[in-house]
Amino acid sequence: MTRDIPHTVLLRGASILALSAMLAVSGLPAATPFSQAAHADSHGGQGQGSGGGHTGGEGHGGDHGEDHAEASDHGQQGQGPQAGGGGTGGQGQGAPDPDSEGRGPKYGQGSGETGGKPVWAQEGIPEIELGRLNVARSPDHVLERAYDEALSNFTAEMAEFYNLTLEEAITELSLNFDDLVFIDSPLQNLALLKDALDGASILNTLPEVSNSNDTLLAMFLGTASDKTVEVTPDTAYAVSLILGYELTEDQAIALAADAEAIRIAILAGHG
Amino acid sequence: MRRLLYLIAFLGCAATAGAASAGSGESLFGLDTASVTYGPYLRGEFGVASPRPGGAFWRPPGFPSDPQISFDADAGNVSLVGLAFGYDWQNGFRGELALNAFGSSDVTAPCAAASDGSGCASHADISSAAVRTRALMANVYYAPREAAGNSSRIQPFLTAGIGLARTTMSDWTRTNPLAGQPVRTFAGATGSELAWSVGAGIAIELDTDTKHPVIFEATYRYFDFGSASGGTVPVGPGASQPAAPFQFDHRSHVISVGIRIPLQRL
Repeated sequence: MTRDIPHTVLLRGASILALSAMLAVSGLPAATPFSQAAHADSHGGQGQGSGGGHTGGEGHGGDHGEDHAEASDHGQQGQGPQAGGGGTGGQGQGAPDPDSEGRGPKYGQGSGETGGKPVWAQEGIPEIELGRLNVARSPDHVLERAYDEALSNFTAEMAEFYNLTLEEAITELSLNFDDLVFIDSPLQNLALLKDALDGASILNTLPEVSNSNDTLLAMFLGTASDKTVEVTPDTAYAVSLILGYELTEDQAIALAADAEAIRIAILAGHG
Repeated sequence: MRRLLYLIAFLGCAATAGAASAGSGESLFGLDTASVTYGPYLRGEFGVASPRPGGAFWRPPGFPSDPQISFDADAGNVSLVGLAFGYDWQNGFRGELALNAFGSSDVTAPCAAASDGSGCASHADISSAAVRTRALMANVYYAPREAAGNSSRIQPFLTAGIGLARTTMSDWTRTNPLAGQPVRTFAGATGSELAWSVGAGIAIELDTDTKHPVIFEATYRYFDFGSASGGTVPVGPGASQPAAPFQFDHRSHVISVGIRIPLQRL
């Protein structure tokens, strides 16, 4: 259960906060790993990089090269670090600003990946609204107690819910919310999420529970979240990172989609 | 007062029995773990205080020609109520700010000795007085089992506190049948003193699956409230004032029960 957030991740978190503050001052939207990736997916291949090329291909030119070079890897001659790793980028390359050297701080460090990790992972925890998911930052001994408490209160009635498929769970949450018994505490859900992020939820060790680990992950994350705060890929990535795991982009996107469906079902069922 | 003690004992037994039976057997994992209590909490308590006044004396108006008189002071049991707001780090430590209010305790103090060795027959007794105390305490708690990682719903703890006690002594009366004024009464007084306490207790979580778990606590504490002292201004006949009013070291044994409720359900 106990996994510490690497110190470097905290430093990266501080870095992205500083970056976001600078972007806010400069009037540009604060970008986060997955939002940037999505943006690059849609624009990178056309060589129209307009601010997000560093995670998605090589579509970013030097339009902002000098203005933002020190804050991020904008202006890297279009060398999006994820171009090779994520396979999400195109080949477009914008023209450098005439006044720019067209070099970001990571110029010359190679393309595709940095240090074996995608850039969005290098940048630490995205700056997003986590709402009550913020309790994931609780001390380890508190999270461990929450884990034990969840198991201590796990009854056969609860097991019925955690046997549902994702579709069944969405239906039941939407239509029969008041009749369902499941773990509501965000901290307990996050503790179970942390446990299941290694691919094997302890709930599946019970003879009473047999479910896909992905479904359980979505149940834990979707239930832990605020009813009114969207679960995005950045959310899934941030929470997993806080809990000591690092999801891939695909994993984060998939988990967020399922968890968001759970969240919306709870919102619909509970109001 | 005895009924209150019985009630405290009953509540303690009931809480222990409840903790032993509640929840067990229902968990599919066979666990019976205490809830997460990390964060702020409210605590309320009531109990019985048994004052143990010591070092009681007064210096009559004729002092130093007249001797200082020491007394065997005795005070009746009183009730107490308390309210505290604190923070539980859930690593075995928690801290709180507590306000305790003790009831008015009647004090009597027959003469025990005179500083000049003369017999008590010719000296006064304190026939009537009463003290009442309010204490604002900063308390810390240490639960060794929890500190060691144990997450049982039953946790013994040690506690210590330091704070300020405000004690009021009512008008007090000295009686000496051989004196020109056999009965004299003096005004009361109020004073603030540094207070401290040490104690031990047990915390029992009553229910683990509610939004705000309720934790029963039974605690013994020894309080030292500093000194309690009356005034020197005569009330009624006579104008002379004592060189030092009736006073004593104000200490008390306290047994209390209460509940603690974590305010933040994570």
